[in-house]
Amino acid sequence: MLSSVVSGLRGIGARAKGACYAAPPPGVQGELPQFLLLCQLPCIGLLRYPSCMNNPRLPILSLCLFSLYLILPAVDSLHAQSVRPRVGEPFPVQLFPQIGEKRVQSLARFIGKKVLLIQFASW
Amino acid sequence: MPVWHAKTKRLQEEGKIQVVGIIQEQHPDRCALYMQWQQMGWPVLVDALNRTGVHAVPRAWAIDEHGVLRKKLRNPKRDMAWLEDEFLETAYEKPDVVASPDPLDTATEAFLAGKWDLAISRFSKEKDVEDASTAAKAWFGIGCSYRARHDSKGRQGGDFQAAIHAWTQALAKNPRNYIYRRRLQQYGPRLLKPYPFYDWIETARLEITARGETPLPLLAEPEGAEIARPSRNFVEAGATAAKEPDPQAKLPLDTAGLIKISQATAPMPANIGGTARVYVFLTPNAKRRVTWDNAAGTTQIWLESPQGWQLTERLMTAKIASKKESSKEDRRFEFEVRIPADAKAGTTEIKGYALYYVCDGVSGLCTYLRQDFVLPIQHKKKAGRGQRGGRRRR
Repeated sequence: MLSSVVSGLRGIGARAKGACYAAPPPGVQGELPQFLLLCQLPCIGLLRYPSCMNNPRLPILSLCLFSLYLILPAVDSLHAQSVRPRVGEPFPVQLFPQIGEKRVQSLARFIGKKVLLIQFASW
Repeated sequence: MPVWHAKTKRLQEEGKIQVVGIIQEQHPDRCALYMQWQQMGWPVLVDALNRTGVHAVPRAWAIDEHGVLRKKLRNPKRDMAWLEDEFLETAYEKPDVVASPDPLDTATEAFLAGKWDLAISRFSKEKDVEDASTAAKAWFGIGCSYRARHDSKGRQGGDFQAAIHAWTQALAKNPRNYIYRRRLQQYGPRLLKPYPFYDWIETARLEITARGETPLPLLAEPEGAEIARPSRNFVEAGATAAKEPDPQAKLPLDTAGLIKISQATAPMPANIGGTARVYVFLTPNAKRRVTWDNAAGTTQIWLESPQGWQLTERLMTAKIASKKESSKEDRRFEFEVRIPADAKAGTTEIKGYALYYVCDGVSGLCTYLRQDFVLPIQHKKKAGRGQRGGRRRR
C-alpha cells in the first residue's frame, strides 16, 4: 500500500520534471541508494552533533528530506527519452557518460557558450 | 566530422565556439582512439543506446548560449559563413523555458552502471509495448546490454547471438533508423557491408606512435567482420584449398567439456539466396581452470559444407594473441556462408569439429582433443529489397 503511494507520488514527480529540477540527478545511482543517502544525512548530523537530538526541527528536516526523495524523478519508461530537436526551441538535454569523465554529463553544462554539436561515429 | 573540426579550429582556439560531440557507437574507447588520432580534444558524450533517437550520422547543430537550437547544419562548406557571420555575432535572447536534463530511465541507469542483467530485464519490460519507437529503443537497449556483457568478464555463451537478435528486432520495429542498421552491418557479412567499419584503427595506431604518443587501449579489439572490406562477390573456399585435419576422427574427444563452444550468426535469420557471417567462440571451462596449451600448438576448426551451400572457409586456425605458454582467453573464428537460392525456410546445420591443445586445471593433464559441433543456421525468405546503402561519412 505504502509502496504504491510512494510509487505514484514519484510518478507525479517524474512528470513534473523541469519544474522541480535544479540540478542533474545523481547520475548512475540507483533509486534505493538515493533514498538511503538522504536518510543518512540526519543520522550523520546526529552523530556529529548529538545535542541536535533535542532540536524540535529534526522531524521537520527528516520530512523535508523524504519529500525531496519523492519528487526526485524516477522514470521507468523509455517514452521520456523521445527527443526531436526543433529550431527555435531549447535543444533536448539528456544525461550521457562523457569520454574520460566518471560522472554523467549533459549539454546543460555548456549553457553560456555557443555550441557546435556534432553527432557522429568513428566508423 | 574532422571537416567541422578543421573549419572551426581557429574559432575554438579563440574561445568563440565550443564543439561538443555525441557518439553513436557501442565502444566509446574506439572513439577515444579516433579523437586522439585526429588530435581533437573537445568533449564527447556517449549515446551507445541511441537515446537521442538520431537515425543517422553525422548530424550537426548550432546551439546558442541559452541552449536553444538555432540551425540544423547540413554542410560545413555551405554553413560555415552563417556560423561565423550570424550565429557567433548574434546575442540571442534568453527563452522563457530553459532546458533541463531529462532524468535517466531505470534501464539506462542499469546499463551505465554496468549491471547488464538488470539492464536487460528493465529494457525487456518495454519491448512489447504498442508504440513501435519505444519498443525499438527497448530492443536496441537489450542488444547493447547483451553485447556489453559479451565484452565483459561476465560473458555468457549466447550473449552475442542475443544481441544480434535484439538489434534485428529493433530494426524491424524502426527500419528507418540507420544506427540500428549499421550495428547489424558492423557484424554482418561482407556482401551487406557499406564500408569497413574500423579499418582506420591500424593506421591511427601507427600515426599516433609515430608522433611519440601511446595509442589509447581498446576494450574489444575489432577484427574479422568489423574490419573486413565490403565485397560484391562471395568467394568460396576451394574444394582442395584445405586438407581435413582429422578425417577419420582418430583424436580423443573432449568428453569432460573442457572447452565450451558457442555460436552467433548475423543476420539471424539469414535470407535465402543471401549470405550470413557465422561466429564460433571457444571458451575454456573456468570451473576446471582450463587453459590453452600454447606451447604445444594452436586451435583449429573444420567445417563441413551442407549440400548446395557455400562457405568462405573450411579449415580455420586461431590467431594466438598471447605470447605466454598458456592462456585462457576466448578464441573466435569467423566465416561466411551463402544459402542456396532454392533452400526452403527453416534451419540448416553446419557440422564441424574443433581441435585444440588444452590443459585441465583439475587433473593437471595437457592433451590434444577434438570436439564435434553443429552450427544451426536459420534462414527465411527475403522480405524486401536489402538496404546496404550509404557511404562512409563521419
